[in-house]
Amino acid sequence: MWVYPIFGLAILCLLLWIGDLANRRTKGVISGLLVASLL
Amino acid sequence: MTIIVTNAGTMISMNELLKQWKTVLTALFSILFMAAVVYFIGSALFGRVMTLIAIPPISGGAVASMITADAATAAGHSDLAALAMLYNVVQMLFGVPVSSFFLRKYCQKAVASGAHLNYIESSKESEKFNICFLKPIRNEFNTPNFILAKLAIVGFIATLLSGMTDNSVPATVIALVLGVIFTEIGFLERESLSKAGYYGFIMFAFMAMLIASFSALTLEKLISFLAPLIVLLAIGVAMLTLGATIMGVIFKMDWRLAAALGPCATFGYPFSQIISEDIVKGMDLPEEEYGKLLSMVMPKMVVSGFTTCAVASIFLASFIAPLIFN
Repeated sequence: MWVYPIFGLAILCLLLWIGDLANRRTKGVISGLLVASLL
Repeated sequence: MTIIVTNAGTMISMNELLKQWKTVLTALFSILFMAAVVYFIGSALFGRVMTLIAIPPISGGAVASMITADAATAAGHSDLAALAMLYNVVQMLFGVPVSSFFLRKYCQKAVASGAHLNYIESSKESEKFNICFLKPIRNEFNTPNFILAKLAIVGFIATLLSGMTDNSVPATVIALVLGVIFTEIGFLERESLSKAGYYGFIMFAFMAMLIASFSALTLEKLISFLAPLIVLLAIGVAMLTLGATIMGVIFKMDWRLAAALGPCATFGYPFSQIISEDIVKGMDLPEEEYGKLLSMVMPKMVVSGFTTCAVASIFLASFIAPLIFN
């Protein structure tokens, strides 16, 4: 299952979607924390 | 690739195809007829490989050309991958004039006989085919990432199913069928990639992968490709026209209209719509008559281009591509 790149893409998009939803609930706090941690 | 083909499946409306079944069969027959004639004449003139590279792009659009180019690159023939993309670019120059010519003849005849005045639009019929049982997801949850995730999941299922058949049924064919089914049941959005705003990016990414094959194309190679390119395209467009005309006669359609439907395989949507609008506009009719004549020709042109470019050519390319270098 893991050898298919398209499976990785599906998981990545789902994670990004969860990020979208979380961001909406926390009004951007999560993406702010992510950017802060990256910096 | 499966993402692009699954997305092609989401564009297919079963209701529209069922409503225009005569046009669908005409378009299908024309590309099968073209494929058979081009294969026999082309193989004798330029060899089997050169001919098989030409058939999928002539029978459809960019996706069929990409499947062919992908197979050529995988077999180590990147120059032939470039040739497949070249067919995709040049074919419009052959198809558009032929289709426009016959469509103009048909419109002139319809206007002269007043046939368009008696035309009753059938687009307000109730939808016969409806298997949608999933409720549409709320807009706030339906983000571009979610739309792409759903497409990728369907593409992944297609890849798994293809693996189960030892790849004897290509993943692209399963992806197209699943794309249609999952859109009809309401899981996928219509024209998913465009709705998510990813269409341009995904096509760009795929083109970027294919563009490497152009580096293997030398000027000498390009010149040697010109003869098969021109001859096979000329034969291909002539056979698309002839095949559609034969089917038009069988279905008691006007032969001029049928002949215009055949070459739609070389350009597809949105050009089929643009050409119809342009030619009907050129008839210089009052507003109401313009609308009637347009609704007489445009749905047929659009469905024909769509059947060949988005459905049949992908099937054809998926089956032909693995055979080219065998």
